[in-house]
Amino acid sequence: MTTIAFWVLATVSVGCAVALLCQRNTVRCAVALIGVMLALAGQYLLLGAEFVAAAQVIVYAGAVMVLFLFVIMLLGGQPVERAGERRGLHSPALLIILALMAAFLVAAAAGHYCVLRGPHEPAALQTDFGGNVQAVAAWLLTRYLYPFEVTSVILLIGMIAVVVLAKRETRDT
Amino acid sequence: MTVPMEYYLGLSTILFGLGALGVLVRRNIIVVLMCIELMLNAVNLAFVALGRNLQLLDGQVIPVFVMAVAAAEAAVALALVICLFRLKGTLDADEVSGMRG
Repeated sequence: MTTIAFWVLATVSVGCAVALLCQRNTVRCAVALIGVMLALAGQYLLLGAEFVAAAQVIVYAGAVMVLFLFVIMLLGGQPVERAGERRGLHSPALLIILALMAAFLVAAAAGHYCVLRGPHEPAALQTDFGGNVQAVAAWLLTRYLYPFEVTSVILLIGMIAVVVLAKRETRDT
Repeated sequence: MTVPMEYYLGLSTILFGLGALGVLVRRNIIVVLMCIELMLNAVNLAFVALGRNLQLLDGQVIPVFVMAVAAAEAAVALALVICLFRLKGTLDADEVSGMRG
């Protein structure tokens, strides 16, 4: 059952990613990316990461993609892609990406045989705090408290940057 | 019956490669940004799969930070795209060659 769900979700995500690369229409690209994100949320549920799955749907498929669609609609959605690809960059790009993916897979296989099968006793993944969401929240606010605060500062800086960019634009034009 | 972690890593690699290919190949700046989001999603999947395999909760906490930083990045990048569009009147990455790139 889990295996079937994995393959269905993997097929959906890879198909939507290919559609993202191949579509000329920007709105269809955005919808394809939303498909990828929802499929990945399903994968997170299969992996037992309920909090990440919910955040994936709310933050990525909801907020970020609505922002993308908002900008696409704001700029009118002109078809700027004439041929779909950049000139002369196609086969080198493909070569680079294939080499990168081969390196990743080799690294994953090496990790499979060397590192990742160490003696790890089943630790506090689900059980310590009575649930996945509570466990993640407890880690966020105890062990990862400092990165959590830094993230909020980053969000504040991003907000200020957007305000500054938009304001300068209205003053100049 | 759980799926082995290597399958998740393979799927993550495929999605990351497709995203990187899109960044290199596509012309539209907005689509390039969407491909960057796809790459970030692939990395998140690798984090969660490895976290489950190693029985560590870090694999589920770090994607939360990745999502927050990706949201900030998307907001700033799209504001820059809007500024660029008002300046140049196009979304074609090849047309924006002020740095001779």
